[in-house]
This record gives sequence, structure tokens and C-alpha cells, in this order.
Amino acid sequence: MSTSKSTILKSFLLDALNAVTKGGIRYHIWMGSLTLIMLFGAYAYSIQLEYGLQVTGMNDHVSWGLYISNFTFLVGVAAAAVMLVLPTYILKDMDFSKAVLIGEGMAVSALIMCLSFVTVDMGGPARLWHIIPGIGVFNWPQSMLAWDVLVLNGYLILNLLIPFYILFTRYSNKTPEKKYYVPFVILSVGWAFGIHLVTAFLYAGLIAKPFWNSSLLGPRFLASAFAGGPALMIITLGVIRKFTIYDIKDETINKLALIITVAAQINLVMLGSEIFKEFYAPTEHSASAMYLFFGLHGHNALVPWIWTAIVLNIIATVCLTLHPVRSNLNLLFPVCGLLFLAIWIEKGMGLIIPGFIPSPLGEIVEYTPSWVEISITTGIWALGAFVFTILIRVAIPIELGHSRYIPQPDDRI
Amino acid sequence: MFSFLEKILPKRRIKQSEASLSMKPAFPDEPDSTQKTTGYEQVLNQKQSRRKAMGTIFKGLTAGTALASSSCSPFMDAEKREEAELQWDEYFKGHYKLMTDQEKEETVQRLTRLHAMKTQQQLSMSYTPAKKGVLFGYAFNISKCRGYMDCVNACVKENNQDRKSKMQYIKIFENKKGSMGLETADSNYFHEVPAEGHFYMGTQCFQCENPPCTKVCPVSATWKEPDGIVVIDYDWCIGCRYCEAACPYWARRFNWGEPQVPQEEVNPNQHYLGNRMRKKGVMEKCTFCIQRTRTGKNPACAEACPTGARIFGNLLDPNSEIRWVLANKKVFRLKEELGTEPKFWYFMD
Amino acid sequence: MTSIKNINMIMTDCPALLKNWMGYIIHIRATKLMQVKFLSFGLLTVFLFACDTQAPEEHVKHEPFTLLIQKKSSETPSGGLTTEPYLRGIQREQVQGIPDRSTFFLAERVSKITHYPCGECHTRTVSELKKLGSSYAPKAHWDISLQHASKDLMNCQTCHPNSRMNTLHSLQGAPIEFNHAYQLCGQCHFQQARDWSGGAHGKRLGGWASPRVIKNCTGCHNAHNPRLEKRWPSRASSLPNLTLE
Repeated sequence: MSTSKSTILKSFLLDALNAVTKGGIRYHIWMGSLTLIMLFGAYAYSIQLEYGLQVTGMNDHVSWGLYISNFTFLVGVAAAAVMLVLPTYILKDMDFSKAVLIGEGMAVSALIMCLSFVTVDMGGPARLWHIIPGIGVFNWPQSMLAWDVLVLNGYLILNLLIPFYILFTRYSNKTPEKKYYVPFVILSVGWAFGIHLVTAFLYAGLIAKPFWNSSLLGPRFLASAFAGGPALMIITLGVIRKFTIYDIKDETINKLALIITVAAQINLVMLGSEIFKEFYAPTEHSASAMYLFFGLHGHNALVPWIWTAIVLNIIATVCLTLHPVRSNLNLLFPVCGLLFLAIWIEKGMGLIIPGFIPSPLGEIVEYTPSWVEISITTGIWALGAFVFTILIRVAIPIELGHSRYIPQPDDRI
Repeated sequence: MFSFLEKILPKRRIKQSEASLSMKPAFPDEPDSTQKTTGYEQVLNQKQSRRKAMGTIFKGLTAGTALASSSCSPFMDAEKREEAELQWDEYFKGHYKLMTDQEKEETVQRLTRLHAMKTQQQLSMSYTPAKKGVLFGYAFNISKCRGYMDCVNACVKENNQDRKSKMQYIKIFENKKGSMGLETADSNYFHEVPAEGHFYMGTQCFQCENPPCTKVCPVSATWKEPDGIVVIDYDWCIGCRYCEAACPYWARRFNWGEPQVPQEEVNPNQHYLGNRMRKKGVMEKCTFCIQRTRTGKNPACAEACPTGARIFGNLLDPNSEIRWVLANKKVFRLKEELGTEPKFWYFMD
Repeated sequence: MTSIKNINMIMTDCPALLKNWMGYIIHIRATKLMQVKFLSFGLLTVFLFACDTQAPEEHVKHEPFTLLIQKKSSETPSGGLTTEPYLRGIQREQVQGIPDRSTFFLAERVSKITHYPCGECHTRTVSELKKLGSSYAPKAHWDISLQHASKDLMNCQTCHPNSRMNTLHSLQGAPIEFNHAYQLCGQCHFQQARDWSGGAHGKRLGGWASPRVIKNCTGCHNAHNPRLEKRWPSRASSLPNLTLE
């Protein structure tokens, strides 16, 4: 090696810092507003740390709320990166190759958001070291949360190291060697299915909650993840096409749209199956579904939300099914946005909250997020967007070949 | 500050050949102006007068000692320092199940001392282990309960529950005769009891033999003791509330804020796994009054019930009242189909 | 400090199988699709281990816990504990269980009856007292009205003998001590008496550990007006306080 790795690394980091801090006025406004939102979220979190979780809308009846709803949804978005990785590396479809790193960047941001949501939901974040295997006590394999900690962190590491290796080697004017990263890519494909199944099993394994305790929850999660996540990816690819010179081919977007269509159709079929099971012959176990779709004893706070989600979902799926609409990029982006929003409602609040209503003893306490929860949630979404923007700003110049390590004459040997 | 650092740290592009370092004498009297000097040499190999050197050393010592003592105790108060040290030890202690008896004794002493420092009240905290040959069981007579809620009052007082959020381990449901299900029951009644045409049922933690809550805890902060009580190590709980979602009987409570108990109402007879003072962000629940039952007493709810609707005892004692109820009464448990095997039976006269 | 191995042994059931599978996957030189298959199969196998491996033996035998526990007994039925310290100040009398139960104790009651022994005032029989007519001024508990069954079923003499008023009497006239009033009450209320003897009716004193000392019938019930009155609950239940501060 003519130049030491640490020098190249230093140069890489400095160039990355440059790429992230320099930009046009629109870029700075974007990053600045995200920072403001994050700061306000941090302030809200400080209030939560001071007074405890009583400042949220959660209580002993509805003990998980906005944070865990967003966490559940975002695990799906993170898993959706596999929908770019799988065609590129396993099916060898080169149309996706340019978008793969973007997808992995999205996975990293989504995972950081997931881990943030879990952390802010904790009652005792200072004691989180208790979960570290070896230092604390790790209840694995019994606790699905322990599984989740493992698979999410593992997936984060995979999605950080693989792109880093690829980008760094390209930056060092070398070609990434397939034998080093392809096995880990294969691993990440299976792992992506794993993270979302584990998250689904978190809920499906609870006998106390008949609304969640179904065998369909895992497959439902996968279907909605592969519909909602790539929908967001299409929108970001569109944004990247518009604001950078990074070329994403139309074929990539069209094929991705096809994947979304199939996943959205499967998602609707599963939704229909659930609705049939709950309402054909309702039992007391259907009370949660009754609350969600029709209201229960006068409590119907979630009814307008879920029907909005279902209507948007159906509109989006029908639009996507129609080839003329799907191939028209001007229509595709809004339709993807609708689908993303619909799945966010149905898989977030529309899944977590009804699980707690009615309570196991039949009591009904409704849930409304407080301003603290909403601020922290928006802060974490801003954090995700921030991280994603940074990753893209670093990755794209390297991928385009604009950012490369230039050896200096008097560099350390 | 940056210029200072620049002088200390080697610059990125400066060549540092071994030659320049090895040729230099160990303690130069004067910087050799003929050779290129590095930042290292410029600052650290300077000529120092003895006086200046001693001054620098003493300044450093003073600063270091002040830093060390101030980082250990940011307050000058001896009591505050002791409190900080106790909190430090408490924070880093391990899981209760992995503690030796010595460590358990130490943590009880720390907690007692911390409470005394804050409130001048002396606690009597124990960590009595489970007694051999004992498995606790509970029976509730639906015919006898008249909805008085004396049990709820006694439980709240005995277990130092948060008064601000009106935490209650026990819930009493008033149900119309004709329906056994709790879905039609009302737990928020407040009128003369018993109301005509209604009956009353109480729920609390049923101390399942196959608890779904202990399975899901990611840090194993909750477990079933050998005498059948499901307990929580309050200092180990990270507050994820997975156990609260897993309980089919709504038995577990979370401290959403800092629990508040008026000083005069604090029950000083405490057990480490039972009614000692909790903090915000941890789970708690009924422990069958572990501080009482491990000394032979009845739980506060059973003790307080004026109608004798609550029966408590050792399931392994064939002569106990609870065993008589199981053998002679038509007993049932809630949600038996879930397989949780609760040790809390209901029966009627 | 306990080693990691100990912690795992105490806390979890970490299968060695997982370690084998991971090594197999990483070192294998199979095709990529094979690797995915093996990984998913491996994950599935390990998930199965997450299922309950610590079920009590009852699950294996498929016998309900309620039936199973009734077969068990313990060498230390009180766990080595006693409720003697909590029974200070309670005089007790031994009772033979009904119908065929082990003996237990009841809290004696006579000392709590303010006008016992009755014979101190009742030197004459009740019928003699009544014959005195209006000249005999009413004393003490003459204002007791009987709210216990109907006039056709009960009057004072049903329980109190005309003479020997320091005791009660059975339907056939056999004397019954006040402390053992259950023998009288149990004549009609035989179900409650049986339940009381077994433990499903009445109030236990002291604690769950032996000795078993329970209250007499009259410890809770006023024999002349045994029905429990309605009252207000001692507190209102409430749904959690949802407001900040």
C-alpha cells in the first residue's frame, strides 16, 4: 500500500465533512430547519427526563403510544432496503445497482430512528446498560425484545459497514472486492426479513393481546414494510434525481414501483383477511378491532384515522396497479406518498393503540399523544432525515467519482 | 486553544523522521536553531529555570487535586458527598439474583441510609428469602365481597404506592348479576354497597405459575420466586413496559412520574422486593405483601377485608384454608385458557 | 463477579446449537441462495428455542394445576413460621373441625360480652321476670329486637334457655358455650358452619401460618341482627390521573 489507510481515512472524513457542511442556500435551509426541529425535540425530551413519562399521553391502560408506533413502522422501512439489495446482488439486476447505496443509507437512518424511539420510550434510559450482554443481564432467547436488540443492532452494523467498505475503497481509488462484501450482503438480505419478523413476533407472542396474537401479524408486517419502505425510497430517489446529477435510471424506479404494487396488493389481501376474521363472527376478542374500525361504547377516536388509511391505501394500490399511472412519474410520486402515509397510520397508531383498548380487564381508556411526545417524535424524524441527508451527501460524490483521495507528495508512509 | 493544540499535535503534513528525534540530546539547554524543530520540541523540550519548573509543578498539583476532589464531590457538604457516593454505588450494583448475601445486606443498608438522610425516618428493610415448602395461593369469595374497598385502602398504605396517580394494585369490579364477564363490569362505582342486583369481584396480580410477564423482560428484572411470588428488582428495571403489555390481567403498574407518599404515611416495614420506595420509570405490582407473608402474616388486603372474602395460605399445606377451598368449593380462575396458571382462585358460597 | 457463563445459565437457556449454525454458515462455501436458506432455517430453529422451555411439569402431564397442587404436601407447612407474635392478646379455644377436619382455634368471645355472665342479673328465669309486669323496670339489653328469621321460626328462647342463662342451648336443649356458638348457629346454618370450619367463611386472625385462629360467629355477626348493613365504600376507585402535574 503506497499510502497508509489512516491518512486516507482522515482525508475521507475531512472530505465527508466538507461535503456535508458546504452547499447551496436550499441545502442549508433544509439542514437548518431539521436542526431546529431536533433541538426542540431535545428540549421536549429534557422535560420528559425531568418529570418522567407522565408528560406523555401514555398511562397504565395504554402503555405504549406514539413512540412505539413509529418504531414499529420504521423497522419496516429499514427492512425495505432489502428490496433494492436483493435484486442487485441475488438476482443480478443491474438496474438497481445505483440505488443500492441509497437504500442502505435509508436503512441506516431508519434504524437510527428506531433505536432513538426505543430509547425515548424507556422509563429508565440511564439503566439501559443493564441490557448489554456480559455487563448486564440479557434475557435471550426468551425475550423477543432481547432478540430485537440483537437483530436491529446487527442490521445497523451491516448496513454501516458494507456501504462504508464500498465507499471507502472507491474513495481510495480501488475497486471493492466482491469476496469481502457479498457474503455480508447476502447475510443482510436474510437479516432484513429477520428484523421485521422479530419485531412482529414482539407483538404476536403476547397472549394478553388478542388483537396482536395472530399468525398473520408477521407476514402482514413484511407485506406492509415492502410496500411502505420502497414507497419512501421512490420519493427520495426522485428528490435525488432532481437535486443532484446522480443518475437514477427510469428502469430502477419502474421496477421498484412494481415491487411496491405487488407488496401493496398482498397487504390489502391480508387486511381483508383480518377484517373477515374479526367481523364475520365477532367475539369478545374482536373488541379491539371493533374499537379501531367502528368505535366501542362511544369511544371512537381512531375511527377516522383508520378509514383514511384504508381509503388512501386502496386508492394508492389501485393507482399503482394501473400501468399508465405507475409509469407516469408525475403521478407515481404522490401515489407513493399516499401509500406511505396510509401504511404509517395503519401500522403505527392503527396497530399499537387498539391493542390496548379495551384493557385486558375490559376497561376503555383512550390515548392522545401530548405535545412532548409529538415534539420528540418530530425531532427524531428530523434526526432521521438529517442522518440520511448526510449519508447521501457523502455517498453521491464518491459514487459519481467526484470525490477521491488525492495522494499528497509529503504524506506519511 | 486551537493554536495551542496545533503546537502540541504533529501536523498532518510534517515529516517526522526518526533521525531528527534520535540525534537530539535528551535535555537541550537551548533549542538548536540550525535544525527544523517540531511542535513537540518547541513546547516540551524548552529550557526551564528551576524556579519556573517548581512553579509549574505546584500549579499543576493544585489544579489536579482540586479537579480530583471536585469531580468526586461537586458539593462541599459532607452529607451531600455521602449521598452522592451512595447513589453511585446504587447505580452500579448488579442484578439482585446475582448478589451475594453480603451485597444484599450492603444495598439494604445503603437504601436505608439514603432514606434516613432524606426523611429522618428509620426503615426496617429486609431481604428475607422464600421459606422452604411454601407456595402461596389466594382465593376470593365472590359471594362475600360487598365492594367496600377496604382492601384497596389497606394495600395502598401497606405498599407505599404513589398517591398522586392514585395507584392501586387492586381493582374491584361491580357487575350485574347475570354476567360473569368483566367486560360488562364497572370499576368506578361510588355508592352504597352492595348495590341491588350486583356482585363484586376483585383483581390484582395473580402470581401466575407460568407468568407471561417474566418471559418477556429483556433484562430479567422480573422473575418468579420459589414461594410463587412474581417479584421485580426495581433498580434493575429499565422501564420498557413490555411486561405491562404481556400481562393478561392488567396487574402491573408503571411509575409514570416520581411516586409520592406523604412522609407520615410511609410504611417503614419494607422488603427489598416488595414495598420499598420505588422511583420514577420502574414497574411495580402486587407481591402478595411479601414483607408480611414471608413472616407468616396475611397480605394487607386479606387482613383488612371485614367480610372474610379473601383467603390466603400455603398451597403445599394440605390443612390450609386455601387447600380446603380448592378441594371443596367450585373454583375457577380468570382466562384459564391462556395457560398462565394463576394462583388466585374465585369461588362462590 | 459472576462470569458470563453463570449469568447465562441462571437467566437463559442459550442453545449451543446456535453457535454451531453460525459457524456453519460463515465458513461454508455453498452458493449464495443456499446460504440464505441455511440462515433462515437456522433462525427458525433458534426461534423454536425461544418458546417456553421452562414449563412446569404440569404441562407435560396435561393435568390442571388446580388438581395437581392438591396432591402436594410440604414438610414445613408453615415454612418454619408462626403467627404467635401476632396473636398476643387473643385468648383462644380449641375447636374440633366440622365435619371431620383437623382441630383449630377460635378467638374466645365471652370476655367481649359486656353483660356476661348473664346469671349475675338473671337470677330468675325470663318467664318469671315477665310476670312482674310493669313494675319491673327494663334494664340493659331489654331493647334488643330480634331481626333474625321470622316470628314463626325464632324467638329469644330458640337460643337462650329459660334458666342457666350463662349458656346457650341446642334445639334439643343441650347446653352450648357462648364461645362455641357455632354449634348453635350451625344447626340451621350448617353450610356456613362447614365453610367456617374449613376456612371459606369467616375471618382468620394473626396470619396464614399456624396456629390457625379464627373468629367466632358472633365475632362478625350480631346474633340478634346478623345481616350486614349496607355502607359506603371506603374510597372511590379512579382511572389513572392523566393530567400533567
